[in-house]
Formats: sequence, structure tokens, C-alpha cells
Amino acid sequence: MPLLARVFVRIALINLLIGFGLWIIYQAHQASLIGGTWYALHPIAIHYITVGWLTQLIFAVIYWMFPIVNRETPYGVVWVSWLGFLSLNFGLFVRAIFEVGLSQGWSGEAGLGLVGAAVLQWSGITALVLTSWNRVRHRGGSA
Amino acid sequence: MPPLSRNMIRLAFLNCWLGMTIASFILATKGQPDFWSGRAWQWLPAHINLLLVGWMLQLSLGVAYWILPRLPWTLTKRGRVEFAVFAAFTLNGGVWSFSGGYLVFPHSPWLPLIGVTLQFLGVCAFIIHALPRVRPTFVPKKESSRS
Repeated sequence: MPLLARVFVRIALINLLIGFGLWIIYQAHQASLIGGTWYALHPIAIHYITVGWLTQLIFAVIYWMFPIVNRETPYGVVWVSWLGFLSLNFGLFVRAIFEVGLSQGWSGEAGLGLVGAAVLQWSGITALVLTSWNRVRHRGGSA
Repeated sequence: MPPLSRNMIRLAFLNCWLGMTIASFILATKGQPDFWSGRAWQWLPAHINLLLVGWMLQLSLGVAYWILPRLPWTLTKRGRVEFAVFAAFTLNGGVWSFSGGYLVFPHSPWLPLIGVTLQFLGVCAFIIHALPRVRPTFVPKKESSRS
């Protein structure tokens, strides 16, 4: 299993734990077990599970398992894949920070943080789709 | 990887990118409510459908078509292939009708209704294709050297 796949499958597992952890806090807040304003945790939890866990796991396994590009560069342009995964994860993290911050009353300028998170996640997914596209091929043959 | 799987997986990638592009607009609107006049919020169902059905479900079906045990006694080796092809067309047609409805005609219920119906038909068709392939892998018997 190549290094990139190992790293990002592990990060996907951590994201799964984070997603469920945040969901528990959100539900505890809904049950009035904890005070404060934590409604923002709901969409963050959903996205940690669907994007941080599911989508990242899918792309990591595609990187590992799908037919190679060629013998010299079996996984294609590797640094673009690294950039894609890092951008996606960092975008999720930035989203979590600023979405909670805004719900806690941070100033309106903090909304730019969410715009930044959107750009990071979109860039990450675009990079991953581009690097994975070439791997959708007949093994040993043409695309 | 058979051509139908390649096409379904590539379409899944395309739907993933479309869904995430819409998501970026929605998230940007969350941060800056005046962005795009706040219109992005009405695209939320399109975002959900593109990613859950167009990306994740279609990727699973595309890989399932490739990976499930084959039926070597059938002409196509994969059984009722026409149902899988029909599923690919109706699933994507359904996703794009549903999403296109919310993107272009946000106050009309008809395109989303047609879209989700097509998606349902696509899923039924794929199940008809796949069910016979959910079986132990066929292994031809080796002739005994003693006989």
C-alpha cells in the first residue's frame, strides 16, 4: 500500500471519529445536556463523515487500487495527489473552526474564513478528480 | 475494467466535481450572505443529490459491475448487461434532472419528481442485473489425474 494511501486512510479514520464525536456533542446539546450554542456542529459532523471519511477513503483506495498509469510513474503526478488530499483536509478543518466561530458570535469578517474553506475544498477535490481520471482505464491497455 | 464501469466511474467523478462546486458556492454564501445574492441556498438539494447518488452510489455501482462474480455460461459473461446500461442512463438522467430542476427552476417541483423517479428506476434495473451475480465465484472443476 503506497505511503500516500496509508497516510490518508489513517486520516480518514480520524475524520470518522471526529465526525461522530462532534455529532454526539450536537445531540447532547439538542437533549439540553450541555449548554451553549452548538447548532453549527451538525453540518460540520455530516461533512467530516461524508467528505473527510467517505470521499477521502474512496480517493485513497482509488489511488492504491486502480490500474497504474505506466511503469515509470504508476500513480501519475504524485505531488498533485498530495496537494489534493492536504487541501481537502485543511479546508474541512478551516470550515469547522470558522463555522463554530461564527455561531459563537465572531465578527462578520470571519465569514471570509468560510470562503477560504470553500476554495480549499474545491481545489482539493478538483486535484483528486484530475489525478484519478487517468487511472480509470483497462489494466495494461488504453483508457 | 469494462467500458461500462469506466464510463460510470468517470461520470461519478464528474458528478463529484459538480456537487463540490455547488457546495463551494453554498459555503461561501454561509460566510458572505450577500455572495451571489444568497441564491446558492436553493441549490442545497442539488448538492446533496449529486454527491450521494451521482457520486457515491454511482461509483459503487460502477465498481460492482466490474468486480461482482461473472456468469461464464452467459453470452456477455456478466449476465443481463442491458439492465446495467439502462441503469447508467436513467441514474445519470435522473440526477441531472433533479439537480437541473433546483438550479434552473427552483420553484417548480416537476423536474425533481421526474429526476428522483428516474433514479429509482435506475436502481431497480441495476438490482435486476446484479442479483444473479451475488453468488460464490464460479471455479471450474479440475479433471482428476487418476481417472
